[in-house]
Amino acid sequence: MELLQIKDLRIQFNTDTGIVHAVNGVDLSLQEGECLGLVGETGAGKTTTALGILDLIQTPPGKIVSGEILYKGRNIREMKPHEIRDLRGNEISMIFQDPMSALNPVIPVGHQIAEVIRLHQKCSKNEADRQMLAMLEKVRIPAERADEYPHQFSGGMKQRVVIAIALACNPKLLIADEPTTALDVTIQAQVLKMIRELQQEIHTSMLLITHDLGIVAQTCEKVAIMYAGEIVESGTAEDIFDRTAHPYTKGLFASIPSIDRKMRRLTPIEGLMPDPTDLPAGCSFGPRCPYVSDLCREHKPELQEIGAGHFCRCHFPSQKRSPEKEGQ
Amino acid sequence: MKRWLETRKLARKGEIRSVGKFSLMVRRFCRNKAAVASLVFILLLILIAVFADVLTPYDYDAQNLSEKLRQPSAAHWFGTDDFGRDILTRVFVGTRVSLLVSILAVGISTVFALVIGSIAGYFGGAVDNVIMRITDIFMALPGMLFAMTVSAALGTGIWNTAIALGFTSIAPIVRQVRASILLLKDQEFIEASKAFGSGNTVIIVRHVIPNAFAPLIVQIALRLGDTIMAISGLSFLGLGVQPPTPEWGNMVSVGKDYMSEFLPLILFPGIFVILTMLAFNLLGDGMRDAMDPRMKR
Repeated sequence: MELLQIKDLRIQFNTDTGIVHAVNGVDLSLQEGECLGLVGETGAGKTTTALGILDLIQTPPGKIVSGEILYKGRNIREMKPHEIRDLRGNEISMIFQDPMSALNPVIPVGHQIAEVIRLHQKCSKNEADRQMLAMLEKVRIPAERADEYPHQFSGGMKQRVVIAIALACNPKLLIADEPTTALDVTIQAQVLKMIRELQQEIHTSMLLITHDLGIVAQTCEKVAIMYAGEIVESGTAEDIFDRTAHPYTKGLFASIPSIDRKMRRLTPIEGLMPDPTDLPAGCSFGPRCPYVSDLCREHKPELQEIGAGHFCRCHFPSQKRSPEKEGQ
Repeated sequence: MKRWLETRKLARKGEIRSVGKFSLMVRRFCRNKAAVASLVFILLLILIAVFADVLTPYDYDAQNLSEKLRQPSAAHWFGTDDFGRDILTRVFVGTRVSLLVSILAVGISTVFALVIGSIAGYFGGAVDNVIMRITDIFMALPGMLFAMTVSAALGTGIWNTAIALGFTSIAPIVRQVRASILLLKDQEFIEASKAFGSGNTVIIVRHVIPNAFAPLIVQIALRLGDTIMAISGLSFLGLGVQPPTPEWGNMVSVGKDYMSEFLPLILFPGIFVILTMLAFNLLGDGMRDAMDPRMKR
């Protein structure tokens, strides 16, 4: 059964410069125990989608305009505020991008972990402390540091504390919003490995938001590529990496340096993402697409299934033009 | 768990250096000599206020007209006033009045301001707008004049003076609280707390107010100092605490009539007003530095 299913989610922000179409009809589904990578460049609407799942969009200026977010078959948008609060941190949890600011600077880290446990499990202070210490050990922070403040920890340790908070109540769904972006590369690998191990240990589904395809390759079974608030391609990791169909995805691969290909220069995708207040009428990737045609400029392509479970939002999905050739 | 408990046990026995937040705070506070001196002075004032009746052999309103306007001597350390009453005794009893009124006044305004300011800052929008415009109206009135008006309307006496002064301090503290909360509201840890399922009350009480506490403490200490000054001001003008209850302000008020020939009556209460105000200000600064765990030194 699907743990999470998002259908046609649309989120807008009303700003002085116009309506920002941040998320435009996103469909996603996540099975139990599965790891889905949501990839896209900055401003593609990845974080907005994630916050939408937890109903944390600031209103105003933001608003979920339409769509359904089904968690275990129940629409989160129709839940009462206290029901959503019971879900947050307990069933659906989130790891934030910047561990420096995601922790309260005036509360010792141990208390911050215990707080979530006490919030969702009606248990005694001692029991919460016991679970908190177990959680700290799980993220390999010595228990005697529980009474220390966030500023006494390094960045990687702080992120491990955030992970401990997120996983303290054994959530069914973990949303990791660029969990390693604020960390340096060696720590990234370590933190990522830890998230992956813990995720498998407590059998949590994970939605991993990132712009790093390398991380996705290491971690995720399924991948969804997001562009200008839409899913442009989704499928299994093999579909995306070996049978790349959408020109944007190919562009992403072409802009990654490779150690086994000789390359003088990387091939970036020309241009910038369209202004979300003024999206093009046809395909939103059209203005940057090397294969753009009149059809693309006039008609928005639908997400179509081009292989079993492999979807692509393009009029000309091609599997023949392999990314290697494009990269030359 | 075991290791953690052992660490705690060791820390309690003093075998390893405790990392408790209180001891850290105390250690940081003690490094600030001026603040420690101020704290000692204020504690001394509190002792004086409590034991004012037994510290001197005189009664604060026992008149002795044959001994009036005497210069300081072994019998009367601060001299005697125009009715031959011991100035030292009256300054001590005045300490009680000043501290009591200023603590009451600041207590009243802090409680109200914390609630009003938190609501304005946290919820924002129309609520915030209405509250802040009302605050602006109060801010536009000169504080002393406003206190005088309220005091004149309510009447004199300890409670009424406290209410009058408390009322005038609400607006600036509301602003302070709101400002710190606005700053905090958009921090990621507040959002994180929401994402982990905390409700508004938990977020305000656990995450917002403790983080807004450092600036609030400074504000409270400053307000205490200011209020000491304001009480004296009101009493000086005859609107605050009324004679025969001694109060620094009304003593100075009497003293000004004899200023050219007899200094002690204006000098000693005046010195107490100034020192008390200074002490509260320095204490406030020291506490701010000590309470903020981000200030590591």
